Amino acid sequence: MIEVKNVRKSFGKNEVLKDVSLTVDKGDVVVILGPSGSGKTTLLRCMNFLEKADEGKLVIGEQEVDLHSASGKEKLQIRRKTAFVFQNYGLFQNKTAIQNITEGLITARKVPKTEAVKKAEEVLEWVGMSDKRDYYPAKLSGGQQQRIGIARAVALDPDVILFDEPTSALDPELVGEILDVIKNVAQRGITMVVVTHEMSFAQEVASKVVFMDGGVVVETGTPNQIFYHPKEERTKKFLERIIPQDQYYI
Amino acid sequence: MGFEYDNFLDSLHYAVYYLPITAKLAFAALVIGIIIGLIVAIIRYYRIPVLSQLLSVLITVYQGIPTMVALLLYNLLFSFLIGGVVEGLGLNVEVRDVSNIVVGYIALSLFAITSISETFRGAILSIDKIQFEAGYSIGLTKLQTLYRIIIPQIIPTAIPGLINNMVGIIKGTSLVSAIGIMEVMNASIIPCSRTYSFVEGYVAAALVYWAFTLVLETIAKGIEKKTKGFRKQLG
Amino acid sequence: MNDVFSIERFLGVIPKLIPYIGISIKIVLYGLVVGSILGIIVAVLRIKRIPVINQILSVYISFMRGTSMLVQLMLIYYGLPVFLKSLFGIDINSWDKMLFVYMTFILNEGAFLGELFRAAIESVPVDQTEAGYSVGLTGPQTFIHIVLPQAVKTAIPGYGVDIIGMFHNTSIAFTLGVVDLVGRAKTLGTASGHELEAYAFVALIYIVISILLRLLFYVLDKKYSFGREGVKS
Repeated sequence: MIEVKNVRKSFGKNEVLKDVSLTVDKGDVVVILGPSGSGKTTLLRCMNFLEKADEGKLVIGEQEVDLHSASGKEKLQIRRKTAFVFQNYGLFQNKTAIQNITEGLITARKVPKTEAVKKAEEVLEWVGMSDKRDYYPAKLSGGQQQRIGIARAVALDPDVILFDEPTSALDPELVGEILDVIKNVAQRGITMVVVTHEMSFAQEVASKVVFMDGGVVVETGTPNQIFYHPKEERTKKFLERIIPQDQYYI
Repeated sequence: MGFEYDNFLDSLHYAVYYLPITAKLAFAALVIGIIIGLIVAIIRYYRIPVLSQLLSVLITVYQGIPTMVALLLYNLLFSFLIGGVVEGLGLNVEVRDVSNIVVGYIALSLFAITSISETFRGAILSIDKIQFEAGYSIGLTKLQTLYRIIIPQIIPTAIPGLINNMVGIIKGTSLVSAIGIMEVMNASIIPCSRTYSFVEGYVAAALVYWAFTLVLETIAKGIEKKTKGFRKQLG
Repeated sequence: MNDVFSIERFLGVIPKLIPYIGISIKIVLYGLVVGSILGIIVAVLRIKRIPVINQILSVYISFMRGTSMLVQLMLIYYGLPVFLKSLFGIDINSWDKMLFVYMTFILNEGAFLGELFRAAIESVPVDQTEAGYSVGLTGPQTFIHIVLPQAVKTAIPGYGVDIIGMFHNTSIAFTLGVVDLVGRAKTLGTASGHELEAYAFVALIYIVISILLRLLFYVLDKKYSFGREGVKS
């Protein structure tokens, strides 16, 4: 189980997260929705120490760490239990597709090289990128890069994968296929937290939907509850804007 | 009075004979500049408290001093200090026999460090922050991320700047002639003191420097092409 | 060390050295003004890619880039009189040394600024020229009103670096016996037996003026940003 407790974060005078808490059970697919500027990406980045929270705690399994004052060692321990999929793919530009995947296994997790390569080849096959094995990221399209990005996260076999708007940098015609790859990850039973704007994906895949606005969690529930029976006015307003009326109450 | 071809050949001979001294000065400064310059750039990138501010002030100030002025200043300090050093170490040598070439090495190395650290700093700043984040996110330590992900990307980005730095250093080596070190510039005019015609000597020196720079630049550009593999864009 | 450096002597050399800053400034101004004119000519000729002239210019630029200014200064000081005398019978041995210094700086700057200007002009996208034609401007009008202002903006940081470099290079003029800051520091040192204070002050002057020049170009760069400074893309 993963728990985020009472996270606060300000950028200068702008308070982006105001006491946010979140629970993710094993095997959960938590989708975080919300308008831009709601703090959802910042929350995800705080969970991996890519932003330093002003306060807050993170519990993964038995381990509890402070999101503000975690030591370098604690950060490393948490990061080695998690994986992150970036909006702009975040592939290492100096490493080939397969090296991008083996890097975390060999260098960070001390997996023997042959084993790491075998594992990497397996996930490359799974995301349909075996033929691009030795390509550098600069030679790959956005969709191909994000497949590698997802494969890299899955190969690490983490307790949770954090997805930060994984399709928003892609051309519209590529979004569908990447969402399919992510659905596949979900079907493997991997715990995931996904920040996205893709409503249909949330409806289809999420076990839990979290709606954030203005730095707070407004409402949490099953996709059915959130999309069809939202309790909060702010949630309703957001959904009305995002989903055309005729599709809304099907 | 005209251009004496034989004297020119004489000078050329001397200039080439002393080229290794110039090359050693340039190469030592380049290597020291690359190693320390990279460290300085990294310290400044991470904004390591105190050290980073100190380095940034030192570099700004030092970049204000012309290499020629630095050489003259260090040479003066050298002449003050060398007596004490020789005495302190109990060396059995005449003070005036001790070569001041060390002054050349120090001045050129400091020049190299300041200019090369700026090249590296620009290169690090041009690397997308996401490269660091991706390294951390897969569980690499800061040092591992630096060593395995960032530095391999800095080097090829920095090479065009480093080539310029290298050309600057080679040119800088000619300035050490002003403190009496025997290198290409001073060697090429050795035959001229017989004839009192210096033009042949300086033409010889100019040609040797020009050729030396062009050859090294060509080699460096070859290396640049080889390291660019992963940066070629799609399509 | 008391004997080596004294504050009193340091303060004493200041009024004796200050007037000689003028020599360095004069060299920089000649290099800057005449060198810029030469640089524009070089840039335009290079962009037009006229056969033979283009090759000659690239050899000229390569030489100016590949050798130090000290070498160039010596070459011009000792070489030009021999060259002019043997080819045209003109005797310039009596010319003032400063003329040779100016000439070296102008020729050196012509090459460096030529390359700087060329790169800046070529960095302006072709569609800017096309847009100029499309609203009915002539070729020269388009160049002067549209292309040049944008090129100037691109060239400003390089211009700043170049001027500071030129200012630093003025410190080699003393090798010809020109009495500039360094030359004067040397004579003051020889006369008093204490050189360190004079050299230290020379270094200080160079530092201060270099930092001021950097600030000036930083401000200029901000001023000519055409509204691009605040936009993050």
